[in-house]
Amino acid sequence: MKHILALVFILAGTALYAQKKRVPERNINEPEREEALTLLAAYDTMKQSVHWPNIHPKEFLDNLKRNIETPLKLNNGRNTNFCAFGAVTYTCLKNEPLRYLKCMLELYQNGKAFYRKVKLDPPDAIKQEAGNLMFQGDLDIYPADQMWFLCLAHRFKGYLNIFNLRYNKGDENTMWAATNLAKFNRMLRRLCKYKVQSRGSDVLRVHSRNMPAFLAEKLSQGEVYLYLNNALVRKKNHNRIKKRMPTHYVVLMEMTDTDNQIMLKYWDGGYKTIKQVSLSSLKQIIYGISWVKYKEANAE
Amino acid sequence: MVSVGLNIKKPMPNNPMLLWVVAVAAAGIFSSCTVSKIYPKEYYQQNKTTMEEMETQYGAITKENLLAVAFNDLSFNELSVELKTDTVRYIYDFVYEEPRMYDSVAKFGYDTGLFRQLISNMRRIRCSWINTMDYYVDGKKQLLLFMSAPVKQITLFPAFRKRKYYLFNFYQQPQYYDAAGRLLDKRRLRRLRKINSEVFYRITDKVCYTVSGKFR
Repeated sequence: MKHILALVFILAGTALYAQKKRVPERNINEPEREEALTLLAAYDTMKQSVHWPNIHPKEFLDNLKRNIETPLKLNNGRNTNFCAFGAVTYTCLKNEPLRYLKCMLELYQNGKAFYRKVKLDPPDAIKQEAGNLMFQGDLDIYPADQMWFLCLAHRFKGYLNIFNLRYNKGDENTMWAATNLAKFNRMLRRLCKYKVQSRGSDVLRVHSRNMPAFLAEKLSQGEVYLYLNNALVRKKNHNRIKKRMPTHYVVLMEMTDTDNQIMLKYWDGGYKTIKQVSLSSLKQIIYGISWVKYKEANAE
Repeated sequence: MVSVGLNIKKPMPNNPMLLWVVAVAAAGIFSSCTVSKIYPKEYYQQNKTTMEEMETQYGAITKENLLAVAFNDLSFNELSVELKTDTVRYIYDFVYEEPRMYDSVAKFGYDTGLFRQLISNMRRIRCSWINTMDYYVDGKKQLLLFMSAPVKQITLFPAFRKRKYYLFNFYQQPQYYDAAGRLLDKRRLRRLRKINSEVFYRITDKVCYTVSGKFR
């Protein structure tokens, strides 16, 4: 009897859990964005937070406004390992800007906040450093983004971070902020509550008989995130031995296939990047594909 | 207690030829890993005129929109051109002098004549990357011109060679340096300014260099 009851509870729990899964919208969530901007305007006279001494409220609010108005311009820094957090934030800004805004305001005012059930409670080292990151390009002047990325990097950990779990100055460029594929998917599941599906790994490339068709199919159904070997996408040296490992996350937006020349359009930290690659290059660069289906496809 | 000692003589290489080979190999390996600080300055002095010409050409080309050029191979035949608008970055790979390269550049409104001269100059001085980078001083955006060139390295094992590059920054205003010639962020704050996580060293007030394992 006990076993049957336990089984019933597990099944019921699973069913409830499945029902709660969210699905992203095909377009930017416009009503929520307007609501977020209205709410933001009400915080015009917000005072300096005691928790974030290096973040001025005006700069903080300007940064939030910019993110909500133009999610595409979200910048995750020049040399940081924040690309995974950038990709996740992009989908948060696109689909639930109000939740993002409320979380950020709470985080600024109280020093800790919840994004759904994810608790962001950074240590003092992060609170002191946010607003002071330098030499990272546009990220230098966006304190709210610094705060958010540092908090996410502190909150989510994967096996790549085990040798550097505590933040020290400059760790935004080190393995402290690195993200493996499982951690990336976990972030999407926990923060956005998506039903994330994924192929690939941190070591071996994705194998698909028809990669362009596979990507096109997933793109037509929902949001697609790619885990790429950026050393091949954007060469940084001419060494004969190339590192065969993924290093970069992007959000795939469009893809066209013409005579084995594939045109990829993806969000890549502040820019919508358009790049043409050959079929063989495409197979070489992709190590992970994660996707989430849109509402229409999941309506049943 | 009985101790057992084995009387083993260490094999000493008594072949002078073998010793020479080992010494030359070691010298080759170590010399390929280090770069003197004099060489970037020499490179700059030797190519100063061309680099200044490139600075002018690049400035004229990128009046409206930014552009970056990378040579993906060391024979300087394959290049990658990044054409940037406010929110979109187009990355195209071309072979040098390929007609469609100029068509693409023209399509985005860049001056193809100047572009042709620029990449010709890049090939002449073996410059592998040219780009504009932004940095902030007191919250104000500033731009600098970034160029890089591969270091000539001699090694016995080219397959395992890790390439080094001279990186040059060209500023519009004179910069501050410390006594060791390191680039500072501001005069009063004795903080080093890092570009791409690298410390740069003075050549002139407006030009500085470093050596790095990445050309961009």
